[in-house]
This record gives sequence, structure tokens and C-alpha cells, in this order.
Amino acid sequence: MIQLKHISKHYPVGFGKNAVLDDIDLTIHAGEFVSIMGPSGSGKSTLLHILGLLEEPSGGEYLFEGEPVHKMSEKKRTQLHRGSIGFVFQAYHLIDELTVYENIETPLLYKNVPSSERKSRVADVLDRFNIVAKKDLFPNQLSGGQQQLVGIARAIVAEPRVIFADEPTGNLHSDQARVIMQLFKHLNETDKITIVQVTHSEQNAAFGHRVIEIRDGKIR
Amino acid sequence: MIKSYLKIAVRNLYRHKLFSLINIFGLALSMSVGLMAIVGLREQLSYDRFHPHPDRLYRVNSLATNGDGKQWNLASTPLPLKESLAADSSLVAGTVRLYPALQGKISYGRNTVSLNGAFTEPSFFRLFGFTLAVGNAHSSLALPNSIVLSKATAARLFGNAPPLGKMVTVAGLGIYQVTGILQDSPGKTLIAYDALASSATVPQLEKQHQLPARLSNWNSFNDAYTYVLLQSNATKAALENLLARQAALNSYSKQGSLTFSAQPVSRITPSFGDVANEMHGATTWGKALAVPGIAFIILLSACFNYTNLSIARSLSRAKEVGIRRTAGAMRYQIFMQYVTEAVIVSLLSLVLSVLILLWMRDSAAFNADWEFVPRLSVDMPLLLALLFFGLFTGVLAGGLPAWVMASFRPAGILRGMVQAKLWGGVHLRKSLIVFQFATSLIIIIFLWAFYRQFSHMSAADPGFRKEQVLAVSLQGADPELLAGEISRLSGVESIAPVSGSFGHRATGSAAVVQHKGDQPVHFNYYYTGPDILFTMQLTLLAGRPLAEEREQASSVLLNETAVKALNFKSNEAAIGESIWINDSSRLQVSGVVKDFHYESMAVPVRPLVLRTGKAYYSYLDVSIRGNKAQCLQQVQDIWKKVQPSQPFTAYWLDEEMHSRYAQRSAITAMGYLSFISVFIAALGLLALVTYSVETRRKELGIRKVMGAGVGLLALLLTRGFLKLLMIAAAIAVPAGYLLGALFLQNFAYRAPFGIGNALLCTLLLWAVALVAIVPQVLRAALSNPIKALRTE
Repeated sequence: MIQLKHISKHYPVGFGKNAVLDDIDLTIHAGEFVSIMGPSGSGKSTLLHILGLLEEPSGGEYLFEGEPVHKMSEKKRTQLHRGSIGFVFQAYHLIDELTVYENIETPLLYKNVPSSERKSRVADVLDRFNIVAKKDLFPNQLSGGQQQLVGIARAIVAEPRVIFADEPTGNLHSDQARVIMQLFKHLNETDKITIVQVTHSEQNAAFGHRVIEIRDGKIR
Repeated sequence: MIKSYLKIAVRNLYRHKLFSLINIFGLALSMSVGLMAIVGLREQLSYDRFHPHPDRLYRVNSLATNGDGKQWNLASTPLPLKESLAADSSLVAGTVRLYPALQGKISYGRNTVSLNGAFTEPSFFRLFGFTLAVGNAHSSLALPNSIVLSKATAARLFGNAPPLGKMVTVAGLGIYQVTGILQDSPGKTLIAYDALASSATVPQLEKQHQLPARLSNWNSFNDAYTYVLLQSNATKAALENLLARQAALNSYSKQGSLTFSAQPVSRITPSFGDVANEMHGATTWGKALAVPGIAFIILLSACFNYTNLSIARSLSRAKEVGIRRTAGAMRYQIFMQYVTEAVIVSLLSLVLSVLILLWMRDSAAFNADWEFVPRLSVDMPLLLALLFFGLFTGVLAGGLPAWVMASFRPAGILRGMVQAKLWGGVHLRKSLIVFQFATSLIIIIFLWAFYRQFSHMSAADPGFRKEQVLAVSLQGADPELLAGEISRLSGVESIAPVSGSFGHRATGSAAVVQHKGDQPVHFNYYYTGPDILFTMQLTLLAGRPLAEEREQASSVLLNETAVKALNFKSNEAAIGESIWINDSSRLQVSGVVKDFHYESMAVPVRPLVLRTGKAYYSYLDVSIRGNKAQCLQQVQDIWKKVQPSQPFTAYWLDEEMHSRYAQRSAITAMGYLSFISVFIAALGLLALVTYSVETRRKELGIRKVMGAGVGLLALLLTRGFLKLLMIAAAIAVPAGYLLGALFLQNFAYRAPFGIGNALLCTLLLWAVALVAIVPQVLRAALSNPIKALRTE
């Protein structure tokens, strides 16, 4: 599903440059649950952003479902964001001015899903995550764990084929973290969604099939 | 989608109440000026749009060139032109001439009203869209000495009595039979007369020397207006051809030349460039666009507030943009969302601004001298214009911030890497603030010059007595009878009949020569009696006062300027000499008075003739001593005895002059404009200070913990803004001063206006700015640092 060939990424610093990723080769198959691990500053978040099409690599090739991403237009990438890719963030990143229901609905709006279908799909997701009672609350009225649930609900409502999660449990305590991880495992097994997560925790990594160790911009 | 945008927008507005209020209120104030401009411009563009054949109806204009090559573009044409154009019936379907010589006073029985009328033909009703309420349009202006009156004039002359068939007298121009009453004009028009008399009357008036001979005079290009209706298959080019032939046939005198051009009636106003002799109400594009221009600058200033605030706050909304982008939003969708927000704000402001405008329309302060806000008629085009205006303002204000937001890259935002370098960033915001304050300051300095000048003129000595002088409108009452009665009152010093009060505008202007055939000089004149010298305390420099009319109708007084204009060697040399007025009356100079400002102080004193003429008296000027209120009451009692059928109308000369010079409405209007621009600039500053204090709370907390004092912190926060105010002043003081000085150049007698005035205005503006800055800064500097640090 995902193929990286000789991917590198560097930022200009002063007159020189600071290499964050260096010659990364990586293949992730559909249906996998992969954890990217590594110390702070090792480049794992950058790698995830490149995978999620939020950043462009400085060099190398990236094939998403066989298509070269680096040759895609902005429009095509946005299409992928709408249909194939979901994001979950460490800081949840819900829109503060929108209710739980409206937050979950947002990706469907951009996907031009008709109103009645939107309603039923959001209702399904709310139901599945047991947050129907919270649908009219605003993010600041929820606990961190609940907010992350909403974040995941939003990520899957558009039925993506892959979810990129950037330390999804980083701001949560361990009980909440376990719930979230089990949810990911469940989504991976029953819905066949490919999941790529960045994490610090061995425990969380254990929920996945495979761990990619990254250090100093290289895969170990 | 749009629903989601609206939701977010409304919730954001509600959450940030202060910023929303600043945005909405500032925009609404400036939009009220914009609306005023729209309504005013619309009115300017709506003149003469109701005539039946707008595409074929033209007015003929003249271009006169004198011997020195000096040119005048004139709206008027010689009288004979009409007949010679009408002769070409293959081209011309109809012609009409307006000869506005029907001036003066019209009376019926004891009722007299002033008259602004014109001689014209029956074709008037065929070419123009005017109709008669009473009377026959085909025949009412056919016979000599028939007259058609406006509804208002008829009501003032006859009250409720049926007007048709009544005989009315026009002073100096004979007796007329009323043959019709005009319907009120269906739209705005430049062709607005109190009365129309038949052209067939003119030959006989010329024969009797009641009107100068103009009917066959091709040199009299100042006197009449000629309109032409073309045949439906004729072109404008063909008409201009015909006009060129006419011009060649009848060349204007030996020294110069006269050519004609055709102008569609619906395009007379606003015009490009000045046209002399233009009808009342016409304006040029330059003037018509001046108010919209100022309105646009003020609107821009308010939009900058929105832009500034939105860009400043865009960082806090960056997260939302990032989320939306990862959820699949295209750039244009983000752009549209933020533009929608701005448009919502501007539409809210639009509603508020309409309320402000309605308030101004009904508020006396704005409407003392003239209609500041025209009567609105709300219809579809106006509503569409308003809606478009609202959208335009929204896009103007919100376009840039929306573009900035849309260009955010999601990865950076979501990782918490705040993009410090916004488009243009801090420099842009600072230059916007400088622009706002500089504009405000320029407006204030100009207003101050304006105010100084008019209060200077109202306080200055015009050279005649204005205190304790009551001007009583005669309205047809016999001046001698009324003066006789009033003079018996104990407080009355002296009484003089006048054709108009001093200090405003002369009764008329006439060509004066010493010997027939000389190059004429244009003199202003008043009709008055011998007592004018005492009543108005004029200084007689040489000769004797005017003689009573019944003894000798031909004596006149000149002012010093007139003596010089006629090249007399001294004042004494002029005494006893005779002069010709309008080539028809020979008058003898009996005395010379010291120059005084009989016209507005705005213009230099021009040559003046004071002459007698009982038929032309309009007022009695009564100078009194003692209690004004008591005297006014006594005069009023006399009026009720002498002229019971008409209401008593009188005013105190000094009060009337003061109110005219004070230019209350103009100053209110300009005061409003400067208030708005200052207020908007202050709001913008307040918002930016609030924002910068908010974002620097942590820094301030740390500094305070390190031991920085309140004064130091306050200075730290204010320094940047003070610098901006300095720059604004450096730009605006010279510019405003120059503008003020240029304005004062228009006046013959100028108020002293030094650079100190501009500096004073600057201090005033700075004071306002400090009021916006200081409380915010002090609150931040005095707050407990722990609070700021703990919340981080």
C-alpha cells in the first residue's frame, strides 16, 4: 500500500542543512498495524507527516497505492485526504467552536456526502464509540480520553483505508490509553484499516504487528 | 458547508465580543458614510431620466472664444438658435427654448412671492416628461401673456381658490393669465421653475423695453437654453453637423467665435469639466465623486481594522485551518470560509449603518442648512446596491486575512510550529495603523482650518451695521406704509427698504459703462432708499445720499471699488457723472460709499451700485436700540394690522449672518467624518494593543519576576505604538497643513492659520490614542505575574 524509496528530508539551518530523514526505505502493506518508535528528535513525526502527505520529502520516491505521490497535484492530494487517509493527533486537535457531532461531520462536508447519509454515518460512529450522549457538547467540556475518542471517530467517519496517528495516547493516562489502543486494534482487525502510529511506549507498540525503529533519521 | 461556516463564524463572533464589537461598530460607522455617498451619487445620477425620448433629446451647449483665445463652455445658447434649428424638419422633430428672464416677483392681490421662471413654448410638454395638473398642455403656453405655475407657487398666491383664469402681475413684466398648474415633477430635474410663461409674450416685452432685445441677437449666448428632439432616424452626428453650419452662418462678433455642441439631456449632470451658466443643481463628476472618495478612504480605514485584527488573531485560528486541511479542505474552501466570516460581519455592520444613516437623516444637526442625507426612496436597485456594498466591504476587509489563512501549511501548524512570518507580517500591520492615523490627522487639521475660517468670517466686521438690525420680509406689503407705521415705535432708529439684505448676495448684476460703446464692467446692484446710509451705518466718502425716488429716479451711490473700476480719478471726480446700466437706463452718481462686504466675506468686494426702485424692494431693514424681543413683538403687531393675509417673516441680520457663516451642517458633517476616522483609528489601536498585551503576558510575567518595574513594562509595551504615532504625525502635519492652506486660498479674507494649529491637532489625536493605549498597558503591567506564568 505504501512504498518509500530512498526518502530523505532536511531543513535549511543557517548556511548548512539539518538532515532529519536519511535514505528511508519502507513498505507498509494494506491491513498492517505498524508502530514507529524512536527517541525524541529521531525524525519519526516527520516520517509520519511525509506518509500522511502533510510534508514533502526533500528527495526519494513515495508510492501511495502504487501512485507516485511526489508527482501528484495539490488537488489530488486533497482527494486522498478526503477519501483514503485519516489523522489522529496527540493534542486531539478538535475545532473548539464546533460540537462533537459537528467535529465528526467535518470530513464528510468536505467530501460532499449528502445530508441524510452524513447524518446516518455520524450517528453510526457516535453509537459505535458510545458517545451519543456527548454529541452536543463542545470539546472543552470533555475529558482528554473522550476528546481523543472524538478525534478517532472523526478520522474514521470518512472510511479511510489508512489512519496515521501521531502519539495518540501521549496526553492520556494509562487506562484511557489502553482503551484507545484497543479501539485501534479493533479497527484494524474488523474494519481492515491500515494503521500507522508513532509512539514512545512499548506497551502501545505491542498492539501492532510490526515496530519500525528509527534513530538519527535512519531505520534500524 | 455554508451552514458550517456560518455556525463557526457566529460562535467566534460571540466568543470574542470585544473584537467583534470593534469590527462591527467601526465598519458600521464607516459604512454609514459610504451609504451616504451611494445615496448621494444615486441622486446625482437620477436627474432628468423621465423624459419620453431620452435617446433623442439633446441640449445645445455653446463654446465661446474671445479675441484673446480664452474659451468658455456654456450651457446656454443665443435665443435665435431655436428657430433656425426648427427649420430643418427632416432632422429635428421638435425644439424648445427656456428663456429664464421671468425673474423677480409675482403677485396676486396683496400676495407677493418671489419668482424664478422662464419663457417657453407649448412644445415644452411634448419634449419633456412634465405634465399639467390643471389646464391643457397643447394650448396653455400658446397665447401671449399666459402663464403656468408650479403647485407651490399657486398655493402661495391663491391659497385654496381655483387658480385657472386668474390674472397675476409679474413685477416689471406685465400681467399674465394663469392657464395651467404644473404637476409635480415625476423625478429629479434641472428644469425646475416656479412658473413658465409663453414665449409669445417676449416680442412685445422687448418692444416695450421691459426685456433687452435678445430674440434675434446671436451674441447673447448667456441668456437661454435650447433643447432639440431629433427625428427617430436622425443621428447625433447629423445634429452636430447642423449645429456647425449654424455656427458658421452666425459668427459671434468680430473678436471671437461661437460654436455649438449637443449633449444628451440625461447626461448633463454630473458633467466632465465645468460648464458656465449651468442650471441650478448640476454638478461635475469631480464634485460628485469627492464624497464617495472620502467615504472610500474612511471605509478602507475601517476595513484595515478588520484585516489587522484578523491577521493578528490568525495564529490562534491556525489550528482550525490545519484540521480542516487534513480533513480534506481545499485552499479555496478555507479562503471562502474566512471571507464568509468577514461578509457576515460586514452585513451586520450594514444593518447597523442603515440605522445610523436613518438617525442622521432625521437629526437636525446634519440638516440645518442643506439636506445632508437626501430623502431615501427604498427600491430594488438601492437594496441591491446596499447588498453589493456589504459584500464588497466584506471581501475588502476579509480577503487578505482569508488568503493568509488559506496559505497556511497544515503540517507546521499541527506540530505546534507557529509560522512567525505571516505575509508582510508586523510591518504590514504597522503601516496600516500609520495610514489610519495619518488620514485622521489630515482630516482633523483640514476641519480645523475650515472651522477657523468660518468663525473668523462670522466674527469679522463686514463694514456695515449688523447688530440690532431687523430685516422684515415685505411679501407684497407697501414699504412706505409699513415703514411709516414702524417708525413710530419708540426703539426704532432708522428704516430703509432694500431689495435684499447685505452680507449674502447682491440683488443682481448689470453691465455698466460710462459712455455708450465702452467696454462694459459688471456691477452688482441693490435697490434701496436714501436712509440706507443711516440704517446700515455706511460711510459716505463723497457727495450726497440717494435722492428720494419720486423726486429723481436716476441717482445712484457707488462704492470705492466701482469708482476705481470706472477709472474715475478720485471719489469726488465721480460725483455728478452719469453712467449707463444695461445700455438702457442713464443714472447720475450722487455719492460714493466706503467699501463694505455686501456679499459673503469669502469673496473680495466687487463694484456696487445702490439705486432706487420701489417695485423691487423685498425687505425693510429696521435698526433699533433697546430690547430686541420687545421690538420684534411690536413690529409683528403692526404687520398684523397692515398685511393680515400673510404670515410675518423677519430675522435679525447678525443672527442670520452668523448662522450662514457658521456653516453648521458642513461643520457637523465634517466633524462626523473626522470623528469616525479618529474613532476607527483609535479602535484599531485599542484592538492591536489588547492583542499584543495578551500575547505578551508570559513575557511580561517573566520580566516582572526578574524585577522589572511598572513604568519600565508600560514603556516596553507602548514604545512601538508611540513610534507609529510619531510617523503618522510626520506624514500628516505637512500634508494637512498644506491642504488647509490651499483651502484658505479660496477666501479673500483669511483666518490666520499657522503650523501651530496643525501641531495642536496632533496633540489632540495623540491624547485620543493614549486613552486607547494606557489603560490596557497599565492593567497588564500591574497584573500579578504568577497568574500569567501559571496558566502557561
